Amino acid sequence: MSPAPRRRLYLPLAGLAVGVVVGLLIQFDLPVAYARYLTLVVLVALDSALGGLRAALEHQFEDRLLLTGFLWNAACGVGLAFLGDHLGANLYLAVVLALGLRLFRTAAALRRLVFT
Amino acid sequence: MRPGIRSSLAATVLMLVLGFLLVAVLRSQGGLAQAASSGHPQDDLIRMVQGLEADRETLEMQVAESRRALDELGRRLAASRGLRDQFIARADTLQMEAGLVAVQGPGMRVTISDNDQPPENAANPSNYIVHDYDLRVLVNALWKGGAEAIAINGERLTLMSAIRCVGTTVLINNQQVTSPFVIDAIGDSERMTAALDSDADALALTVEQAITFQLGYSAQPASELRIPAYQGVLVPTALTTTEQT
Repeated sequence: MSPAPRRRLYLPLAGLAVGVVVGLLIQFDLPVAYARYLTLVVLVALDSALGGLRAALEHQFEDRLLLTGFLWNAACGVGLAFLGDHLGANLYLAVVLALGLRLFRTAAALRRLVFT
Repeated sequence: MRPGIRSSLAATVLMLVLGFLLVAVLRSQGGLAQAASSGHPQDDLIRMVQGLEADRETLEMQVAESRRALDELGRRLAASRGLRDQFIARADTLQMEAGLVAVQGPGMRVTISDNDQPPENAANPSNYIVHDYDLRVLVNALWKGGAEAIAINGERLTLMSAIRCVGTTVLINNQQVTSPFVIDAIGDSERMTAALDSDADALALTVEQAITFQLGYSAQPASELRIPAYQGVLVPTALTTTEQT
């Protein structure tokens, strides 16, 4: 691992810390009906973060791809789940499954990148 | 801007959002409370019981407070109901006294009528008919005798009633009444009889003139009289109540 990406990790980690603190400070009470969708967004964000880390380690990081990927995947996931709720099909599970598979794949790729 | 900084910024923004969302989801699903617990279900249950006990104490205090407020409201309701009943009773009494409601009770009936066949050579034919002042004499004597309600031919006498004469007709409450005049008076019939027998003007009418001009006259106690309400409207325009100090 080159030293440059390692140094660049500090700022995102600080961002994560700030986000956690802001979330703790702000009373953000989401209606239960939307909590499921928020879970999807969290999964998408997690996926983007791991994907971004992987891309950085592979020296392929593109900030535009990261942000658009996050927004686009979140919109698609929530939209699909929303559609499923109104069609009576549990597309929510499909989104969770797809994201879960992606997360595992990315995690495996990260493991390979770090331990090889 | 250098690409490195830009990349860092994008990643930072994403991580900020991720951190915020993670906390929000954990909190909205009660995940934080679980995360904060020690992991022993027993501790969680104890904490839950303690929380519920605190809730119960608060609720019991609220119940006691609400009960006190309810009692207070009940007392005020009872008081206002009592006040309302008092006002209604007072209004009823005042209406009865003012002649605005029909009343009944024992009293006496005084009847006086014109002489329908006056002599043709009578010097003054008006002596043979009953006049407004004759009725006033009788009514005044009855009031003096403690009458509480009086009606002449069904016209209730009120505090604003006048007995007057226009041409040859007698008007009471601006209603025309004609002979025979039936005066119903509710009250103590013995006292009213005594008043009629002791009033000089009444005696002059009921004894001298009634006999001289052969007017029909009778005065009988009645055990049950019904006197109707005043049919007009009593609306004072000049009156206001005086301030009581």
